[in-house]
Amino acid sequence: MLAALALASCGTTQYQNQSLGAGGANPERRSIAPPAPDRPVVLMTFSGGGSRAAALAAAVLRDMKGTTYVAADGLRHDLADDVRLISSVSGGSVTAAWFGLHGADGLDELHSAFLARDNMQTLELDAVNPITWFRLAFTSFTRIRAQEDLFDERLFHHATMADLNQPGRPFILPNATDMAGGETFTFTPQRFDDICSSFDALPVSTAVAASAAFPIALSPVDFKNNAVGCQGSIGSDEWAQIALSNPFSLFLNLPTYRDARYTNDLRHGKYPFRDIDYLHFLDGGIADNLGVKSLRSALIAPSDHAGGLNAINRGLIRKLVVILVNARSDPPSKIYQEPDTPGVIGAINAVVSVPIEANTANSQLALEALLTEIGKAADAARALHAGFAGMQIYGITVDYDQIPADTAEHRALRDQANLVPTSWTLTPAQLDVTEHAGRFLFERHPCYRRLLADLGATPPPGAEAPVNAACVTASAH
Amino acid sequence: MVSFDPQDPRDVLANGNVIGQTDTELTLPADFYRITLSGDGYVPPSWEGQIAGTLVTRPLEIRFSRA
Repeated sequence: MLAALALASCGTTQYQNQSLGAGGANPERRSIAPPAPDRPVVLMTFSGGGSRAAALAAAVLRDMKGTTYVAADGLRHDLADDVRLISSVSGGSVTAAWFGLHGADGLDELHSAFLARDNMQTLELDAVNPITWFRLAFTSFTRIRAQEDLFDERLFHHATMADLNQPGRPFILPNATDMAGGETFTFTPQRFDDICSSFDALPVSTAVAASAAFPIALSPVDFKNNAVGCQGSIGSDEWAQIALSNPFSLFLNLPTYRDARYTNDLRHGKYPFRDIDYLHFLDGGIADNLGVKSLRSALIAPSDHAGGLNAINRGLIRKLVVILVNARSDPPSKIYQEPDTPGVIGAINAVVSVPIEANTANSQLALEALLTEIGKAADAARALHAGFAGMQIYGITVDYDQIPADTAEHRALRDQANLVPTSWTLTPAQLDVTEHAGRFLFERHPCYRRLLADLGATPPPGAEAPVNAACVTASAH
Repeated sequence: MVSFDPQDPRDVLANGNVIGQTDTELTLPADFYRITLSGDGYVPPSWEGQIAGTLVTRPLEIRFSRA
């Protein structure tokens, strides 16, 4: 087995993207604007964390489906219908892609086809199968392909990104990490223009596998950059060239400057910072375990084809709901009981996990600050001729750290939820506690409660009692 | 705020991307921008500069007029 794995790197690399042929294009067919101005616009991020993350996200979506209200058209709608965008990482990408293909009605099938199944056994059986060894040793088959095959066989059944990229469907943005540059690579038609590759032709299972290619355990997903000599009909990168050619952007807006630089590098533009001929993708959680960067870009970056800023400025978004589903768990650490200096394994664990946790906390804070800033601007503009005047903001975070320690029942939920491992297999009890935690955290959140009140909505049957706290991102009426 | 003929509302483009309409207050992240309008028949052909430090109550006003 080890010999086969060692030989695996000798196989010919198989690039999983298709070059855009002459005249080929990557049209963006989705829109962030709601079907009617009175309907809320819901933007979500799903973190990584294996099946724990997938199950937590699915539990929140199921609760949203159970949250119904009557809109101005006189019809009853549910909150899951109002999801316009999901930015996802790793395990969260499984649920995001599934939701993008099947909507909230398909969540029961996700449960039976994937969440409740022993997926690790399938991967392990595949790993000890001599045919797999042969494929690893003598073909371009890689360890990540086993996971990709699992996703395709169990969930996506040869669906491509074209199936997600359809009018009326939400933006589903799986995020991977470009392992050489540490950049977040988001699977969008716009980004595929940069590498002159067909977005629509890419299998959904490849995008999800790239987003969930946990380092060391799995090999990266490999792409070839086809930008040189591109024959496709790709969008302009005027915004990037302006950002790179003026002396102010790197002081005024460094994140946009960096994104412009990455776009220019991918396109093999003038004065590249990096020469990028090949891309190797690992788990999106390495660069941004919450998927906040892509959501932020979709919401406020003028260059982002999701067009959030245009929709805000035109007054198309009156109620903006941003939901962060963070499946980060915090199991008890034996290091606290160890009097001796921790060994190499402990140090490696800390090096892998602590920066991701710190990064997650920072990006969560940054998004909350942005929402507060937009909310204040919307409030201050009430008397002015601005499309965003009076826009309501609801920032909802689902995070295990928000399970209180006030009762024995809550402490038990907190402790059990934090013990659920990062794996593609959960026991029935682990799945149950994860789903319970998702419902508990979502239904109690003050901004969810505020949204219910503002929409005149009905919560799902048996919903948790509200907490008498203020929704800090919503402006005063 | 990007001003033009109120009888002829145009799309406002920042660095080539549509970000709203003329004669309404717009919000943008701080940066250097080239502002243009959709269609033609307006002057100047573009406005370039830094947009930073503005407030909802103290916006920057950029004016275009018919050519």
